[in-house]
Amino acid sequence: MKVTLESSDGQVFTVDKEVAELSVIIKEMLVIEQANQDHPIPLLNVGAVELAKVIEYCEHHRNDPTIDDDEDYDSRKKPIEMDDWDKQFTIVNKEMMFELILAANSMQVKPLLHLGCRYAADIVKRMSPTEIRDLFQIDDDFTPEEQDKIEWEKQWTKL
Amino acid sequence: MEPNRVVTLPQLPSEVLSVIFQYLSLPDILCCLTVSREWHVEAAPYLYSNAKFLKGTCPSLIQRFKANKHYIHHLEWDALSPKVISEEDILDILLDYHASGPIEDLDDDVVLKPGSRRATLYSFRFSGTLDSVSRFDEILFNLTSLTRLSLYWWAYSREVKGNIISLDRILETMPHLIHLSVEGCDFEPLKPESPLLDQHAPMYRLQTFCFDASLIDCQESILRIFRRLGHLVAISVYGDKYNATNFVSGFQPQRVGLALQTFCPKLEQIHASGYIPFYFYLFPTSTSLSPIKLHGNDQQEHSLLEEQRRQQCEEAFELFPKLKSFSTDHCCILAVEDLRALGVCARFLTHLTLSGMIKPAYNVPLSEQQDDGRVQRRCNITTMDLQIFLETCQHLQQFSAPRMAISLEDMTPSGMAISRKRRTYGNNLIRLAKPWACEQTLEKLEIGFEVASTHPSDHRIVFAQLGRCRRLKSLSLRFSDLMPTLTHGVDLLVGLEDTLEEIPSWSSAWSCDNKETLLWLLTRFKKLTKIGTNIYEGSGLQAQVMGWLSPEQCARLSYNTKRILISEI
Repeated sequence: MKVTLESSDGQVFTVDKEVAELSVIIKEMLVIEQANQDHPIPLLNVGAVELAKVIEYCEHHRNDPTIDDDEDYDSRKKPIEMDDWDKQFTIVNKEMMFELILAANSMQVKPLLHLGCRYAADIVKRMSPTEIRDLFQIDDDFTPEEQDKIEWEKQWTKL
Repeated sequence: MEPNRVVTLPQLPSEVLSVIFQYLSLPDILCCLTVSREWHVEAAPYLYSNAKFLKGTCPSLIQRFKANKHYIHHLEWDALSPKVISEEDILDILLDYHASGPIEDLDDDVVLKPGSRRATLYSFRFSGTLDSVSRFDEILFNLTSLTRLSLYWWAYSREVKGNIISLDRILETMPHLIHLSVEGCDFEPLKPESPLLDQHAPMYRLQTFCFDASLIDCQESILRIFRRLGHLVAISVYGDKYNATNFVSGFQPQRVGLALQTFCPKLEQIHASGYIPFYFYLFPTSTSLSPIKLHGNDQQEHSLLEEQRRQQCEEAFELFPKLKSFSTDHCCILAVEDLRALGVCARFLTHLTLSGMIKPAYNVPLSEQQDDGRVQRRCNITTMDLQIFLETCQHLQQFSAPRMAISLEDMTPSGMAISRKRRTYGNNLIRLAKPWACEQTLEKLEIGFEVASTHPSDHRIVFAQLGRCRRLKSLSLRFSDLMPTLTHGVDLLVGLEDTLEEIPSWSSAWSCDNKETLLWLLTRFKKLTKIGTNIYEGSGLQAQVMGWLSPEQCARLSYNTKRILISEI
């Protein structure tokens, strides 16, 4: 069975239902709107470029065993295995990767979200707080008192 | 990527940050703490998620964990060393319970009611003595969110018992449990109405289970505990590490095997720590006593006999049909019948580790053997059996049996002569070796080879066989008297030049004083980065060897220091 998805900029994609269902959000929508399948499913936060890439990922991983929600219970379980295809998939520029993370997050494609976050973790590693703030355009919103408190909090790890 | 371009990235929602932090280590988390308030909020939980209360843990650290207890998800607590943490603090952290006075003074009927800010533990590792914590049961059974639980009770001797824990209560109160390890205590006898014995209830989620062998011998019905453990993938059994003849009395390998075969169809891995006998196969009752050791009068008759044995093994009843890995540590009990049958019909077996002493003992006490017609007297593993195992086992990837060696004469195929007189079986029979069946799959080999000669042609017979194992990544010469020089046959390993990664060889006959061989290996074998030599650190030989090599090549060697291994590979 086929499902149509519509990106935020109006492009329509047709994919197999089982591929689309790797997205928890779409899976839930399909259950609710069973009768209403003629209309494309709108994905308001996902642009066409990212959606195409997400679909490419889902197509490749369509036969993966689904992650049981209960097994996700312990979020620090062993990291998801990365195969050669995944490594190839992550060779894109940073902006694209972070757009993909946001897309995977809003569509709730969990394996892709974890793949992207692993990539993001590799970037954040070895960076100073200032560099991180510049990269993500974050304001340093700590008061001096809070800063002191954090410094103190960090001390114990050196014990 | 484009290093010179200024890249700015979209701000990430907090739930995404939280996923990213899962993949960071503590130093990186510390850095993220100071980025912004939002990052601080998301990173703080990861700062406190792993708590360890061990010997030497600083009291102020424990207070920090106490203040952030709701972030703790993984706890390791060593209660063997006294006063690492007070009982009041433990109750506060694990139950958010604040006692008004010392815990010992609490009335037994006061229920420790957990509060809302307590830690949500996913994994808990506890070691202690019988009386190290009062009201331990109550603490434990409030940890309903656990996925991994490991309990270790220490006792001066195996005879000192008395700590009893209820297996059904653990499984019933912790529905998410995937891994359970309980060592050093007895399990409470099962009541007939125990939920473990309920045939209609769904399976527990448990996948790995480590337990004392005594669990299985304490009562008749106990094997039925596996009835609801149908998801088990791996088991590990702890037994006596010192006494091979007196392994847990009443441990009946046959019944254990049958129970696991019936109830746990997914079982792939078995680990035995100590002298635990396992049967992997049962032979039909018609099979005569210990036929495996019979030898023919001549080559033809012997081949026929071996073929019969092989068929017998094929027909034997397989107790662990999905077995992929069997490993032992310290010591083990394994009979030749089981090894032979494993080789012939364990289709999925890829890993076999027989560490430590392999006891030349029978698998079951003799008294028991006589009672049971299906159980034959089982025999010791000899060098020839090891060779036959390798000739038959098809998918083996890793084989480690450091205390065992194959003797040269058992590896010698037809048409090859060896320098000394060969051992004969029965009436002057000489068994001719066949090629190993696992040549295409073997990746790691750690067994001994006993050549007992300095004649190059003898050594070449062994290296010829090794050279045909084209996937070999790790070849240990530690337990062999093989002489690794080009004249003795190292050149026959040339087919492995693209795969071989390590040759751990300290304490072997490898003295590395052969410049030509060393240079040949280091130049041709690009992936070979770990050669553990038997050269003593600081010796004249070391200086000599280092003189032959470039710094890059030197880095690929490791040396023997103070008669202790410098880098065990």
